[in-house]
Amino acid sequence: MAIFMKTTVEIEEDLLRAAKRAAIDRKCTLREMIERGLRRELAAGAKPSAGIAWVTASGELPRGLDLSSREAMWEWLENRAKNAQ
Amino acid sequence: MIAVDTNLLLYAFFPQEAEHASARAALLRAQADGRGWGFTVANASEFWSVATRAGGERAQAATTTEAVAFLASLIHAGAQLWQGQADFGLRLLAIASQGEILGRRIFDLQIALAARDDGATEIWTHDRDFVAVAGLRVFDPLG
Repeated sequence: MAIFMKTTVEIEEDLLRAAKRAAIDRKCTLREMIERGLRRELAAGAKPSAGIAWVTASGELPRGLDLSSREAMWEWLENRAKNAQ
Repeated sequence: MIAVDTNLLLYAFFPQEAEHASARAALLRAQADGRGWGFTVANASEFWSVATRAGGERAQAATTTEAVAFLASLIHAGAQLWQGQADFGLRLLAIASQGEILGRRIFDLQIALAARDDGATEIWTHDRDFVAVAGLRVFDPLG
């Protein structure tokens, strides 16, 4: 469970107004906007990571499974579960 | 930051898929982008659901060892695993209700909101109908 702490910062007036407007447009709170911004800054400043050590599946996906639509993918999974019963 | 969707993970995992090479190239681009990258717990669960069950009548497509090793390799390479922030569930339901999100489209919204919560500004997906949310650009790196 997250612990929240209060802090006080001074933010340039126009920037704060714009952030409040964006929060309303995005149906979120100003706090959420600030938190996301901080997370992006921290991620951008992270150390370069290792390359991807690719892992490959030994099997293959069946024909007819359409991954370009989540709707179709879930329908396929549900049908498969019904057929297995 | 860049969120990568389940279908890119699956294409990159299964070498027989026509999109396999381009999906791997997309993941490498996301990793090299510099803004940070990751995927949500919901993506990981979806990946697991398909990858370990989709092998047809007689066999599963991938072993659990392979599936966890694939996801772990991405995390080791810098991908973050996101699950949304405080009150995520309540906000998900409120936005779904306000936006009249129906049926399985809730899974798009769940992924988009969790990714946005944790700082993503883009989601890379090959889904032709992905439900967009404000503040999260949808981009098809295979398109």
